[in-house]
Amino acid sequence: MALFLQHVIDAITYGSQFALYGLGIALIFGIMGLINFAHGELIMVGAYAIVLMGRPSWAVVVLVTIAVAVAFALGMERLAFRPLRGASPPTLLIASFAISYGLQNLAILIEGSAPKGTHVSNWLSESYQVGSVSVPKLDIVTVAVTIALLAALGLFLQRTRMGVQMRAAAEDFRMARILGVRANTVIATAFGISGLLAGIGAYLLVAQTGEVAPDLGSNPVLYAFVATVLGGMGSLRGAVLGGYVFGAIFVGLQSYLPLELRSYRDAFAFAAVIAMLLVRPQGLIVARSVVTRV
Amino acid sequence: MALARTALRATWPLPALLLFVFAVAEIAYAAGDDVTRGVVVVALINLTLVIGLYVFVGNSGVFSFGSVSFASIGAYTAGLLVIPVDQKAILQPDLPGFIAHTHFGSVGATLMGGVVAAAVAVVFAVPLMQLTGIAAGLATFSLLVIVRTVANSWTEVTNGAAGLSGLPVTTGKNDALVWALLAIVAGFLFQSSALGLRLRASREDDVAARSLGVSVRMERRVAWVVHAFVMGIGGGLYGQYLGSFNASFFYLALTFTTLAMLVVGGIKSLTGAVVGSVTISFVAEVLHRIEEGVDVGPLHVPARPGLREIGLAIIMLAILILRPRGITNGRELPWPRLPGRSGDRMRRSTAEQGGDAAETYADVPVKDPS
Repeated sequence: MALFLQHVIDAITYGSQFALYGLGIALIFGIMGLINFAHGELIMVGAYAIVLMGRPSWAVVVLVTIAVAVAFALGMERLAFRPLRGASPPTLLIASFAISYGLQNLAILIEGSAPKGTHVSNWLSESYQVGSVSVPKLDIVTVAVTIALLAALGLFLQRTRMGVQMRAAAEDFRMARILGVRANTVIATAFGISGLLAGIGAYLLVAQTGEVAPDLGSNPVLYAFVATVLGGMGSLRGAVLGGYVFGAIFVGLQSYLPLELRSYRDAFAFAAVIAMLLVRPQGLIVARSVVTRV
Repeated sequence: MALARTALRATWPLPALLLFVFAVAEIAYAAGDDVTRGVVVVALINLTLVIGLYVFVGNSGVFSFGSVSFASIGAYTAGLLVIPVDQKAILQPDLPGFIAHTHFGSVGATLMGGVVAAAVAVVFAVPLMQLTGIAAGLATFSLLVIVRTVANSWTEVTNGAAGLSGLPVTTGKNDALVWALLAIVAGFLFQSSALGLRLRASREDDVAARSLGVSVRMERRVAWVVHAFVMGIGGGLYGQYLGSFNASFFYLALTFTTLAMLVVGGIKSLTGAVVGSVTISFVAEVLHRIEEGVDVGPLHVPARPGLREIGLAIIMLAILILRPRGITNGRELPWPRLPGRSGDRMRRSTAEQGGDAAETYADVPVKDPS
């Protein structure tokens, strides 16, 4: 029973992480049809910022990490994706692939390809002991931060002027522009928010692994893809739901697969992606923007 | 006479491309040092892979991010067949018997790499080819992750993350060149075939092609299997060039390189695939020399690992932004024009007005107006 509880806690923690990464991707996809493969590199540059900063107070670290990730997000929007606006989704995906590849190698160029160790916080590495179940403080913080960010993003999209414009743009970009929504501002804001999410994700990830490498962002972004496909491309609620569903699948595969099959975990997870694309390509929650109009 | 000229115009890109690749490879190989020679071989293997990628992506217009997994399958298959039997017994004692005791020559093993890759592609063709656009992109990407995970985990056969080693290094310039030229011929025959033309029609206008009785799915499946065969051959060649490799070699970086070559040249034409490969191979080599450190007079530029990749990424982005349809603009090599011929002027003016439609004149034999 204790073991099962531990698995549930793991599933929720992983789910929160996947949801956090997935949100950043779903937000951009909803508005401009871009699957931002380079989202992982936003997490990576944030992580390098943490290493390079040394050890100021945690608030400074968090703020600077977010600032760096947001700056890179805005930079890639301005330099690459704005000139490509209106290109087909596969073209945009290839462009984001190129950015991802370029940024990873920029990290290699500047910092070398060897992983760098760091220690973020003593407090976060401690655990609460509840009976025989140990709950790392980091897990609680991860879940709480994800839920808080979700709530904040929801409020922003529902209650603020920019949020409403963003939802309008996600639903019908052309119509929104005709009605006076400024495309550049809306898209830049969306990238800014995805940078913010990536920065926070970077802090939580580095606090967990204590290690930074140029390809740090690859796995998070792969898992985020799975989460967003499962949940429904372009739907924010779908990305979050998909994140938690995938968290459960992930921990389930890891804990209950026969031992000799366990190393095939990712193969099963991605086979599930293909199955989902075939059976229910719109995902668990259908975003209104992806319904095809002929 | 007119018929002969039409036929010549329709097929002339093939001999021109073959000659171009042959000449560039031979000149670079003859003029270069040992490093350049290695680069020529790698460039020719990459060219084979890019032609394979083109057969599917270029003709169908559906992007595949998983094609390199077929190169991986080809490399493992060919590798397991060429490693000498007694060596296999030491290095991989857990190999299933029929693999452990089978041995193929270099050419046979490379062909088997293509066959096994094509066989795996047949299995995936049924589900994957129903998808289009971004869903196809994600599904093929998933295929890449699946194949890599299996190659890393199926320790008895693939030797796990350590990968295969002890392959006789047999892929030289001549082998790589012959296979690359054969791939170009295959790519040209495929795109000129009735099935290839139907597939290209569906790429330009899916709905219109269907209304004319093109099944689309069927054409895509055939193209998918053919492309996997060519990718498998390329992978087999790579394995026998490297001597040892693991699954990570056939993953994101190679996917990016081959896609970059195709996109830079122009995905819609065979000429684009060739021109893109040659251009990127050349640029990558120049950047690589800078990356390793060069002496400019008394100044020493220190080694900078990563520079080549950054350069490639920037070039690819620039092409996507400035010339989205690639260097060739998606056309085949144009028929050399003699000045002052009325027929050619007419073609030129329709080409200028036509935009997209202009591409078809190189692909489909059009009756000569003169």
